[in-house]
Amino acid sequence: MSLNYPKSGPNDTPQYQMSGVPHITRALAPLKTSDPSDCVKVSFPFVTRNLTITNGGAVSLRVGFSANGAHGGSSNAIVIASGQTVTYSFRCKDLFLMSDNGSTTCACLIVAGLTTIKRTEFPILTGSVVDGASSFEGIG
Amino acid sequence: MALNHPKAGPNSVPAYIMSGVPYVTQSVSGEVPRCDGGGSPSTLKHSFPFVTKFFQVENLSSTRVLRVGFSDLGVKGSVTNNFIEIAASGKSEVFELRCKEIFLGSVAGTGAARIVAGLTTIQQGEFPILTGSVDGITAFEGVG
Repeated sequence: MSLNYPKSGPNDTPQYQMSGVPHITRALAPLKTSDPSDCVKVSFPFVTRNLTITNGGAVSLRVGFSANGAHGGSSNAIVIASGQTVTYSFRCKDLFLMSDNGSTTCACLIVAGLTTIKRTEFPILTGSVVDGASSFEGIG
Repeated sequence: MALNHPKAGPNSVPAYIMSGVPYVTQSVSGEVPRCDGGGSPSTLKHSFPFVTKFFQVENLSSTRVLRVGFSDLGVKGSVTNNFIEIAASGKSEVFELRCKEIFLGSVAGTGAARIVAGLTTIQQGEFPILTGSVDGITAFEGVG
C-alpha cells in the first residue's frame, strides 16, 4: 500500500477557508541599524492564514517579509505605530522585525492563524534572488 | 506533454479565498503629485504585479490629504468624484477590492504614501482595465 500521500501545497485553497490554528508569540524587535541581518526573524511552523501584530513598545515597529524589507533599505516594511494593532490576511512562513528607532527596542505580540501547509512547501519570499532578478515584488 | 496550462482568470474564486501574498511598497517624499487645483493636476499610477485580494494605503504626509482611486480621472475628480480620501498621517481601511492598479493624488501639494496589499496569483494581464471612459461609453461605473 502506498503511503506517500499528496501534501497540501501553498495554493491549496481549502486550507485558507478553514479557521487558523492559533499561534501566539512575542518578540523584541532590536534597535534600528544599518545592517539588515540585525532583524529578528520569527518563523512559523506552518504557512499563515492571517496575522495580527500588536506593537507594545514605545516606538514604531517595522515588520517585513525579508530582512531587507524590514530593515527599510527598500521601503518594503509595514510600520506599526506604538500601541497600534494591525490584522492582515497574509500567507507567509517568516516575519522580520526591527524597531524604527535607533536607541529604543520594541516589544510586540504576534497572533497568527496557521494553515496545515508545511513551511517547507512554501517558497521563500524574497525580492533578491541569486541571478539578480526580482522574484517577489513588494517584499524587499 | 502539453505545458500550456490554463491560467487563473480574474474571476477565479479560489485565488481570492487564499490568503494574500504580501506586498509592501512606499513612495519617496513628494512622489505623489498634486491632483487638484489649477495648473496641470496629475496622479501617480501604481501597478501591482498580480491582482489584489485586498489593499491598504497609508498617507505619509502629515499635512495633506491623500486621494486614492482606480483611474486618473476618478482621482482628479474631473467629471465625478470617484476617490477615497485619507486624512493627513492616516490609514485607509483594509479594502477587499480586486484591482491591478491604483492612482494616488495629493491635495494642495505633493505627498507620499505607503501601500500594503495582499496579492492573488492572478497575473495582472488577465485583469481588465478599470475605467469609466471607453470610447465615451461607461465601462465600469464608480471608477471614473
